[in-house]
Amino acid sequence: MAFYETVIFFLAKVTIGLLMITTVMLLREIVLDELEWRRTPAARRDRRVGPRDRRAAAHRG
Amino acid sequence: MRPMLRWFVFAVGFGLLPFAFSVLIVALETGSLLPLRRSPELLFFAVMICGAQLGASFTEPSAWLRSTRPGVSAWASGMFLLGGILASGLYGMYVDRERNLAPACREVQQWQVDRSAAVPPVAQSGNLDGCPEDVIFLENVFVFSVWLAAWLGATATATEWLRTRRFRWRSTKRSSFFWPR
Repeated sequence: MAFYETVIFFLAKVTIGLLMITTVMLLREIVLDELEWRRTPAARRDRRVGPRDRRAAAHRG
Repeated sequence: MRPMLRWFVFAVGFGLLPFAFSVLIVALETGSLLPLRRSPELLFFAVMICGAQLGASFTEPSAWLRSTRPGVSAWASGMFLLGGILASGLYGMYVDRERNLAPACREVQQWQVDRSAAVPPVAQSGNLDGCPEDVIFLENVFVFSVWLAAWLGATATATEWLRTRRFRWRSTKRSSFFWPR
């Protein structure tokens, strides 16, 4: 096997490892953002869509 | 069309189309999927995914890419650049080795297609002539291409999800580990 082939195989191994780390990083971004969004007042407002919420809103005026 | 559906159809689907046709043709011709152990189509898929994702990052930047956690998105873009260049390099190596394949290997390949003899011609003559090394090399490249395609596909799908979602809370409030405000 030529030297450059050895080098490219080695780089491929490193890149696959880095890609695994990157995927975990991005999935963490997605999950953390979703969790944080759910705790915001805007998300709670979004969730209040049922009849009970409409009655409560009407009662509040 | 919804963004994620568009992504799966036009990037993932079209990227995998050559491999799908390859599977179809090999299955019809040989009745077996073993010759697919030497196929470079997944490297094409890897290059295609990287190109699509890099192009989208540069031409259609979203809230996430522009302002939220620029460190993470820059890291992901760098990985796509690296992955694309590397997959192209592997593709070149593969095609070069296949172009200069030993004659004995060509006989084996032909035997896998037409099955005119009960055993491969190399096994009859005993003249291997550099064939096993070539075969092992091509199969090694294929193994690398499977890993690269799988992880690039996962990374690109996650990036696309972050890129096309609506602007959300974490984007506005938090600073990044890589890029603190």
